[in-house]
Amino acid sequence: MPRWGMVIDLDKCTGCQACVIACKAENNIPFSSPKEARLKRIISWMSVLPVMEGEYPDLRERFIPRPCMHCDNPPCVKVCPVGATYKNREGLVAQVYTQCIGCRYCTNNCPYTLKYFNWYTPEWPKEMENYLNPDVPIRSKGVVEKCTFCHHRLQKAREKARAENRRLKEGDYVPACVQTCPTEAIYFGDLDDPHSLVAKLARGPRAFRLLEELGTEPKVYYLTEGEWHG
Amino acid sequence: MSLKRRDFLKIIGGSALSFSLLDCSPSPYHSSIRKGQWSPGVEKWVQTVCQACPGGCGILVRVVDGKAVKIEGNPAHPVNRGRLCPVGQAGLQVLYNPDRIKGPMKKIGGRSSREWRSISWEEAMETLVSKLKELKNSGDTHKLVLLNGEKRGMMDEIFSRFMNVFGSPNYFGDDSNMSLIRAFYLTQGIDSLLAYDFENSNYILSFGSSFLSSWPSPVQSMRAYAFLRQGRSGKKAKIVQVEPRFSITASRADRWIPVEPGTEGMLALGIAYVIVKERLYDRSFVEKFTFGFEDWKDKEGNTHSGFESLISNRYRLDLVSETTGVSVSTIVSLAKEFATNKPAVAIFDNNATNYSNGLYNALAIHSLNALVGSIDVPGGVLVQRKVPLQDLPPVAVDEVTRKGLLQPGIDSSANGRFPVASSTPSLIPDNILEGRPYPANLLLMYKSNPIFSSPNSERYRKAFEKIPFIVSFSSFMNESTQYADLILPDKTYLEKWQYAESSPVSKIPVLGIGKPAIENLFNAKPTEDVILDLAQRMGSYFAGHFPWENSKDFLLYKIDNLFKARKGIVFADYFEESQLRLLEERGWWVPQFTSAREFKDELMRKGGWWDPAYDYGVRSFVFRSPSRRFEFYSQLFKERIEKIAEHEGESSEDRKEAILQNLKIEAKGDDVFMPHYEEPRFKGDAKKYPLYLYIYQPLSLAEDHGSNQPWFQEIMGFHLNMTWDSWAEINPDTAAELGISDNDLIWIESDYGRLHVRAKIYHGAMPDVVSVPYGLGHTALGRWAKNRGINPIELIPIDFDELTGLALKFSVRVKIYKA
Amino acid sequence: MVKIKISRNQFLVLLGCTLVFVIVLIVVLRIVWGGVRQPIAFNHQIHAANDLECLDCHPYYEEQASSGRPTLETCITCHEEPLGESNAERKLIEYINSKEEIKWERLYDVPEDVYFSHRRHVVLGNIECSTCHGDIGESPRPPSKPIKIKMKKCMKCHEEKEVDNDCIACHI
Repeated sequence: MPRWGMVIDLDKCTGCQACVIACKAENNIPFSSPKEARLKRIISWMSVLPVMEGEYPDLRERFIPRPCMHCDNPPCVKVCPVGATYKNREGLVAQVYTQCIGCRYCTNNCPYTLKYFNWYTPEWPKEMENYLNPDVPIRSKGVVEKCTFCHHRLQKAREKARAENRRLKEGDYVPACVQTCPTEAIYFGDLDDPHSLVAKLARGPRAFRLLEELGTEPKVYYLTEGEWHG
Repeated sequence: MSLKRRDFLKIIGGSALSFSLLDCSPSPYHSSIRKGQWSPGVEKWVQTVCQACPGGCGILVRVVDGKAVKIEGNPAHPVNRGRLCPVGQAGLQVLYNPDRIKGPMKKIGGRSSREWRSISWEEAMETLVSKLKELKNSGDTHKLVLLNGEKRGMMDEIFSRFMNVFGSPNYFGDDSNMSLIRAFYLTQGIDSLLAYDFENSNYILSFGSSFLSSWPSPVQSMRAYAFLRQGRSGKKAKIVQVEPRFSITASRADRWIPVEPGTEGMLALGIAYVIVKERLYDRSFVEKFTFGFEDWKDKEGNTHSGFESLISNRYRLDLVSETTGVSVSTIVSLAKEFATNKPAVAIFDNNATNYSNGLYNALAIHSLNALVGSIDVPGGVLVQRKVPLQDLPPVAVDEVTRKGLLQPGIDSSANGRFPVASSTPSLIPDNILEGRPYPANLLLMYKSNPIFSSPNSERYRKAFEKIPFIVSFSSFMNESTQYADLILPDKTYLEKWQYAESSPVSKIPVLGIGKPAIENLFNAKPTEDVILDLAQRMGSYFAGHFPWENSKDFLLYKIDNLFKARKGIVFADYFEESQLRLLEERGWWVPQFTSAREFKDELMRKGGWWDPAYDYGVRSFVFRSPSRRFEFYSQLFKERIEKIAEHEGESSEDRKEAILQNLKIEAKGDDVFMPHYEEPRFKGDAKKYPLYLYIYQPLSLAEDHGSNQPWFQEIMGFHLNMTWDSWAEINPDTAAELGISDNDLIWIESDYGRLHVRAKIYHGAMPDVVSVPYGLGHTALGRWAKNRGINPIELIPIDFDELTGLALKFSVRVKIYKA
Repeated sequence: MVKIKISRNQFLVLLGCTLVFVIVLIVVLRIVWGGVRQPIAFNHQIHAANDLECLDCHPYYEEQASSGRPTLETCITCHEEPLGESNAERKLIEYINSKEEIKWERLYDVPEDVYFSHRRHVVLGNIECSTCHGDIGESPRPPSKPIKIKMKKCMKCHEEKEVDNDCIACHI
């Protein structure tokens, strides 16, 4: 049984945000209005956090792309009163919209603030409805959503591999952000397969995870050289 | 790296935590999923090319039941290898933008009217044909003006031919890279952008270049960056960014050197000073491949001073340091690093050249490449070979056309003005206003929006009032299209037959084949087809010159030559490709196909062709200057000045002096034709307006319609947590001095206007520079772009680079104060 | 207060009218909201009797998530010349003449957030079409309302065949 995980190389990331747009396109994430944006209610399953260090003019900045961390010990799951969010056997932290009652306990308990509440009914001008991905449902107002590691792409990849009578191989299943990243800064694969690239990178000296001390055991690893002043 | 939870939350600013109970009260019985959504359809992936920028990446469009639902990179395309930037990803919001012009329209009422009525394509075409025929019949073909903001690829080819056959010299493109290209022309005789071999560089010294954002081929340069950072074994490359703003490129460089705006060239000369003084330059290269480094004698026996003495005499480091604001020790360390970490390359773009001294900045920066021998070597500056496309059949002009083509262009200037310009489109509005050298009669605009993008756009507004008939091919109702009498909306690049060559900044020539991913969306037509159709309707003279039925036919004609060219390879799977590549790099070319037909079929199926091998050492290709060398002393430049003097009947030294004075050049004698520093001129008194205005372009707003794509409104200001609005980046100390705090509304004021905008305190702002993004502040274009943010161009007067005729972007001082 | 007196007969007539009205209302509402009408009353039976396989008109169910519905081009293969004089045939000919694609309505529906792939079920799972689609292949006219496939049915089958019942295997 694979344990899906992601490794993001901050030394390669240029903050271009192709991952952000690819995610919005793949997952039918509604765009905000200026008012919604002012209230900080933009939904962006993948978002890039700029972290600047140093004093003028010796500044350094790194960009941290942040999808759902798919924690092995997910704080959001513990507080869901209806079982709408759970961790599946492959380590994906799932969000089942039809179960969700919109209580937002999970959004509050996520230390990474990566769960998003639908404050509004999603709407697109009718022309733009054409570009919606038919594989992914549109969440209504009042539902919590988050990055799924594009697990519908897993379903499709698995199906394709089976149709071709072979096992799922590395690279068959990658989320949309991984697929597009111009610098190939995002890696994806099975952390439990010791030979997979992600497992190797996650074991490497540059690897760290966000807020590791909380014991959430996130499955998104970051790579960076040295301390901030590298 | 360690990041504590509290810091983390602070950074995020509690963004996702803000919630209010009042605003939303979901019922537990709501439906959590929108109805009617799940509808799997028949899926296909269409292989085509991205045309959102000049990079020319290959893309695959996922089409389900005839609707485009996702764009991904084409793994077989050598420019992007399956990857894509945000602009490419967001093509869906161009294609399905609700503000697209949905069919041909004709204006009701006069020029200032904003009302149109829908017409049929038949009526639209006949209207345009009759206007064109009128000009042709009256022998006024030169009064046709065509502005093309995207002068590349198939459209450019068709337009050029049309203008040639019609008989008008007035076909103009966007001039923003003018100073760069002119600098390459004056030094190497090359009339295009040069390519950089980043992957093999050990040191990249970038002067303001945005090679990690709106570079001409962003995916390629980002990929090169990642390769230098983590992909390459052995030596790590160092990247240094010199810029008046801590840009994305600066933030991902190893070091940021803030420099006073417009003094980039001075810094380059300071670096050259150290390299020359310490004898760190590449002596063998300088000797073999450069001209004018040491003092030299001309044919008449006169001695001229060379670059070496110019540098040694004039650019002492204390002076350079004082001008640029960069410390002497930094200059020395940069110079030493640059000269000893070869191959090292000095790069720049129009961020460093949009000043009154821009051409000299460009010459100074590019001369660093010659000093360390980084031209035509791996890791240095290269020149791309063009894709061997088939030439169009020769044009046999008739009498009217011949006369029309002989007319001076409507961009022409008085003799002696702008001596190194190839064309000066920035003069067009003034010329039209004054009917100089003749009135414009019919204006066509393609992907061009001068009313938004030009300084002092009032000139364009007035000029447009004067032109009897204006036609726009725009897909969007932008500011300039509002003036059009007739709109023939173009299809987007996702709905066209086309080819896309890699940008000239890529070292290898790549040709991507584009085909329509979807059809039948709106009543728009590819402008390529419109022009071909136009030719058919214009009578046998035109039809004979345009024997192509449609754009696909034209495309097939153009690629017909590739098979015969006996080089390069069709896109292939990885294994096959690496074999072929290896062979080709060793000088072998393996024919993959036995017949032209087989080749063409495979080319169309695989989606493109490329030539992976770069031929080093072809001197006549890389150095096309009179001396066949890199010219520190530009003979082409000197020739131009002498020609002007001759034209005026006297070639005395006094006359030349007077010409140089007119050009506002302070240098004297031989220095004029060599890289040197001229003080940049800024409008506005330094006491009254203490700050420089620095305008930059976020990648997501690189295209005109970017601000009408809501995805971009959400991401463009992410480094300052700004969305859906413009902002001004201000240094914290400057802000404190002026009593401005973060998010305050302020005025930015120049002598030419003032704009209301939100202040953002930014640690990456220099104390005397205020930076504003370009791309917002539209007064038209669409529902998301209109009346949102500010257009900083409105603060800029029209002012020219006196040598190239470029309309300057960085030419004004401003002040800011709380609103 | 006025007391309205009605006879037993009057009461029955009123009751009858109300009943008829309610029934008509229900029928109308079902047609408006719940009903589905194909643009052409497609006769599966007759096609099947002419030795057509499901794959002939639904060409993708072995390769894609969607099974595909017949395009005009598919129809033309046999119907270039009218085959018979039925109403449906006449309508088809109109479509063919105007070159307008037929907008077939979707008849079978799974819940909105379910990702369902035909290939996965038909090719990889070896399930007969009729397992979910019943005897539509033999029906002479399209059903008047959409057929909802409920989760209970999916789960039952998944249990029997011992395939994955993880929520996100279907709920995307």
